[in-house]
Amino acid sequence: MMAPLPLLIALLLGPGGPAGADIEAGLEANRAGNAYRAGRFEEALVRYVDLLAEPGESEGELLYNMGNCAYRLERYAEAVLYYRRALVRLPRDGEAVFNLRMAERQLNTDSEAVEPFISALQALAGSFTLGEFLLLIGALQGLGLVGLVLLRRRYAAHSGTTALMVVLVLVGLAGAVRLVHGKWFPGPPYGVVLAEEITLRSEPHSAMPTTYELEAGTVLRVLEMSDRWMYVSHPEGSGWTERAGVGIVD
Amino acid sequence: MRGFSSVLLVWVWIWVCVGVCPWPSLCQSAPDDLSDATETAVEDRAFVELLVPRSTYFVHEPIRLRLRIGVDVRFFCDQVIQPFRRRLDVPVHVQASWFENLTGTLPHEEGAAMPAPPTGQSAGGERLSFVLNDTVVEAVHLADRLVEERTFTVLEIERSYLPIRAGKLVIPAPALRFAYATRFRDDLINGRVPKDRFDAMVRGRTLELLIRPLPVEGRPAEFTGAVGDFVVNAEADRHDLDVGESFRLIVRIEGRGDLKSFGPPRLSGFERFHIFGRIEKKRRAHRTFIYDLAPLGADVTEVPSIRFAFFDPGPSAGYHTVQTEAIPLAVRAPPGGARLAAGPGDGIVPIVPGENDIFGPKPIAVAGAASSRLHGDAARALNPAALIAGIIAPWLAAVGLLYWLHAREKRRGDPDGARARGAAAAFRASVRRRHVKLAQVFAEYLAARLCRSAAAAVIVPDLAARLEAAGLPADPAERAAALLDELVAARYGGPALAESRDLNAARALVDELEPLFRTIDDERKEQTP
Repeated sequence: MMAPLPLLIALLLGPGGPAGADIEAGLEANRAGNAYRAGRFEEALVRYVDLLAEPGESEGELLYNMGNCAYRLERYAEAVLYYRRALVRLPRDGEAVFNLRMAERQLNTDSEAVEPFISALQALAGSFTLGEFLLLIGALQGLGLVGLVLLRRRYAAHSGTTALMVVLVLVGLAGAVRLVHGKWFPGPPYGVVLAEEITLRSEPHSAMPTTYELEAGTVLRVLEMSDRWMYVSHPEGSGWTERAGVGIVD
Repeated sequence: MRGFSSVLLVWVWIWVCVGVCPWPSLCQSAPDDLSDATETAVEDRAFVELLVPRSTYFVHEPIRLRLRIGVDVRFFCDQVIQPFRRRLDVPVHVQASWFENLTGTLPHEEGAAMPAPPTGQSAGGERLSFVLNDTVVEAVHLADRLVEERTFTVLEIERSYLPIRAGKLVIPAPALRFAYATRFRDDLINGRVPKDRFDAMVRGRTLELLIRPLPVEGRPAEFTGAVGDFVVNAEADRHDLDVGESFRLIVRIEGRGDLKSFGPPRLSGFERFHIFGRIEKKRRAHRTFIYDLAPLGADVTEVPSIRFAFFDPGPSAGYHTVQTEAIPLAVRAPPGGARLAAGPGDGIVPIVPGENDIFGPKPIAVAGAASSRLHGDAARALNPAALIAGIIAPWLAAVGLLYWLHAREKRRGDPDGARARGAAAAFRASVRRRHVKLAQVFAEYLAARLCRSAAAAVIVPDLAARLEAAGLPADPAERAAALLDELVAARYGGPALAESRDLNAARALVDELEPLFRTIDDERKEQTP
C-alpha cells in the first residue's frame, strides 16, 4: 500500500472534481509502484510517464522513480537524465544523488573530481530550490539591513558588526542578482547524451566531418537548438549533433 | 584567351541546339501549351499524405509511417520552377518538422529481419530528390497514379517510430510547397526563364493514432519489456569442461520489433552456475547477450533452457513465451574431490541500497492537485512577482524600520506635543474608571492641550482667555472654563450637578474641543518651517 492516508481522505471527501482526479492519480501511482516491485519496470516507467503528464503531480519523486525504472532496465543514460531532472526539483535528495552516481558508474562517466572553491559555492547555491534560495537571500538582506539600521542608531562604534551586516547585505544582493539573472537571462540548459555514442560536427549536416565523439551519459551544455540539430559544448570539445541523441535536463 | 572563348562558344551552342530541361528526371520534353493550367486548381496539381497501416498501436510497437507525395507530371514539367539553386528531381519543398523527431516517440531503426510491408509498386527502384524540411532527401519513386486523366508521379519516404507513452499520438499535417509560373521566356544562357512567379501550398491531413499501454493481464513473469515477434536461441562455446571452469553462453534474440528497449532475459534455474558477468551487443537485426558462466558442481549436466517473453501486437495481440533448447554439458569433477575455490562474488552477497544498489522508489504524494502543483512548481520555477517581492521586501522592511525609529525619536523630542495629542485618549480612559475625579481629569485634559505641566495650572480665573489665546473660538472656550469651574466648585462644596450629567457634559465637550485642538495643531505644523 502506498500513501493510504491521502487516498482514504480523498475517498472520504467523495468523488468528483479534483478529489476524483486525485483518487485516479493515487491508484495509478499505486499501480506503478506495484509494477516496479514486481519487476515490471517497463510498465512502471510508462505509468510514471503518464502520471508526469498530469498537471501538478510530484514531479521530483516521479522523475526519481522513472530514473529507477530506467536503471533497472539497464538504460543507464536515460536514468542519468531522469535523476538529473529529479535533482532540479529535489536538489538535496541524497538518494537521488546516490542513484545518479550509480548510473554514472555503470556508464563510466562518474567524475568525483575535487571541486574548487567557486564550484563548491555554486554547488551549495544549487542545493536549494529557487523558493528556498529566495527565502535565504531575503533573510540575509533583511538581517543585514535591519542590523545596519539598528547599529546606526545605537552601536555605531562597533565597526566589526557593521562590516558583518554589510557583508550579509552584499551576499544577499549577489544572490538576488543571480536569481534575477537566472530568471530572465537563463544560461544554456544541460543535456545528457542518450544515444550510445554521438558525433559532434562542425556544421549541422551529417555530411560534415566529425570533430568529436561523446558517449552515453555524458553531461554537456546545449547552446543552440533547431528542429533536428543542437550545438553542444563539452570541456573536451563542442559542435553540432543530432537532437534525438541528447536529452535536455531542464 | 582564345581557348576560353572557344569553350564558351561551344557551351552556348550546346545550350541553344540541345536545350536543357530543368528537371529531366520527370520530363521527356517541354510542351508548349500551358492552357491546361487554367482548367485545374493549382492545389490539385500535387498532394501530400501520411499513411500508417493501422490507427491503434501499443507502447513500444514500431509505427511505420510513410510520407507520400504526388505531383502532376505535365504541370510540373511545364510550369513549376526550381525553388533552390540546387536542381531537384521533383522541385517541391515538404514541411514536416516532426519527421525526424516526433514528440512522444523514439526513432526506430528497422531490423534487417523485419520484412517491409507492401508500400506500393516501385518504379524500378528509382529514387528522386526533393526537399524535406531543410534537407534534400531521396524518396522511392512509386508507380505513377492516374487522377482525372492526369498522371501523377508518386514518391514515398518512410520512417519508423517507437511510441513511448500511452494516449493519443497526433502527427501534424505535412505541407507541400512549390512555385510555378504561367509565362516563360527563352533565355540564351538560362533556357526557360519564368516571367511571373506564384507560390502554392498543399496541405495534407493530420493523423491521430491511439497508443495503448501494454496489458497487465496475462503478463508472464519472464517479460522484460520486449514488444514484437521474436525468436531466441542459445549456444555455448564449450560443452566439455571442469567444475568452476568458465564458458560463454551466447543468447541471441532476433525478430520483428524493437530490439533495443527490452531488458535481458531472466535466467531462472541457474542456481548451479556461477554468473561472472554479462555483456551485450545491440545490432540492427539481432541482440546478443553473452553470459560468462561456470558450473559449480559435477552434477551439472546441461544449461537450462532460457525463457523469453514478449508482447506480440499483431492481429491476435498477446503475450508469448519462447525458450531455448537445453544445452548438454559434460562437467568433470575436480581431481581428488577437492572443493571448488570460492570465486569472486560466490555466496549470497546481500543487496544493500545505498551501498551496492540504488535506493528504491519514492512514494508519490497525491494530496490534492492544487497543493501538489504548488509543490512541483515552486521548486522548479519562481513567479516573477514573488521573485521581485522577495528581493524588495527586506529593503521595504528596512525603510519602514528606519521611518518608525525616526518618528519615535521625533516623538521623544516633543513630550508636550505627544501629551497634547494623547490628551483626549487619556481623558476617555480615565472617565471609564469608577470613582473618577472628574474635575481633576478634565483639568488634566485642558492642561495637556494648553501644554501646562500640572492640572492645577489651568484652574485659574482667566482660563477662557487662555483657551482663546491657544486658538479656540470664544464659545467653546467659555463653556470649557465654565464647566471646569462648576466641577471644581462641586468638588469643594458648591452646587453639585448630577454625576452622570457632569460626565456626559465633560465627554461631549471634549469631543467638541478635540477636533478644534487638532485643527489648531495642524495649522501650527503648516506654519512651522
